[in-house]
Amino acid sequence: MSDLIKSMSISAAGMKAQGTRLRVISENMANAGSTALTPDGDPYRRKLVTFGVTLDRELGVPVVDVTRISRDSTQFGERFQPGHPAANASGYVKTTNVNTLVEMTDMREAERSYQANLKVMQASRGMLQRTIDLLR
Amino acid sequence: MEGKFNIFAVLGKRMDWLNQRERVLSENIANSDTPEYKPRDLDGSKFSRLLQSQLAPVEPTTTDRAHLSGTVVRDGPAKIEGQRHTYEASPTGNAVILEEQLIKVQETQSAYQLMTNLYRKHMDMFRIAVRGPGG
Repeated sequence: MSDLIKSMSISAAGMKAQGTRLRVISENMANAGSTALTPDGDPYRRKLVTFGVTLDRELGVPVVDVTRISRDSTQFGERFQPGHPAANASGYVKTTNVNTLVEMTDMREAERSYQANLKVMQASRGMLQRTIDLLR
Repeated sequence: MEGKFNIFAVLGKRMDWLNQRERVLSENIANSDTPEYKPRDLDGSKFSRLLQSQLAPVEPTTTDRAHLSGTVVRDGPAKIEGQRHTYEASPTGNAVILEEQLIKVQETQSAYQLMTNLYRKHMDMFRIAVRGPGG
């Protein structure tokens, strides 16, 4: 019985982690069109989520958690726009390194993982319900 | 009830095992995006061996008062093992295949359903016996 409760908590932790991932993706998406503010400044740098396993001391089971939110170190894009206030001497503006296509793919993946966790939770709940139904 | 084949004890064991498997599978699915994570599963052959030892426990008979009583093989939690064959691993080293894991969850769920139904059927048989003739 307690294994099923644990299993539901594990799934919940997985869903929470995917939720955090989705939040970071939306941050990236919202900043997809941003540029640098000054000629020597940097525009928004894409954020990356890394998952890891941590031990839930209360339940005594390993659960998934967001261990790190790091910055993507790939190069910024450049756009030729001499009239822009942040343009450098040769007329280029630094643009963010967010690729909306990549973000969309990530979003779909997060969605799929979330659904899988939800399904497992439903399955565990069903099993628990069946056990309780034995009392009837 | 202390007979040779206590159906309720066996069903309980099986349900316990399935609960544990469900927990391990939910860990796998929750970690489907964790770098370097390898899926795990319970070893089914160990369960049948465990069941065998439970069904026919071997206990030495004591012929003298000074003899120590033997202990019947105790059952611990089922052993969790890393899955031996995985289809593929993503570039981050994660080897969880969601579809495969979900099928296992489904298997566990239907096996559990079978157990609870069997439990109910046997309970009904007892009810019939208790009710006695003439309803």
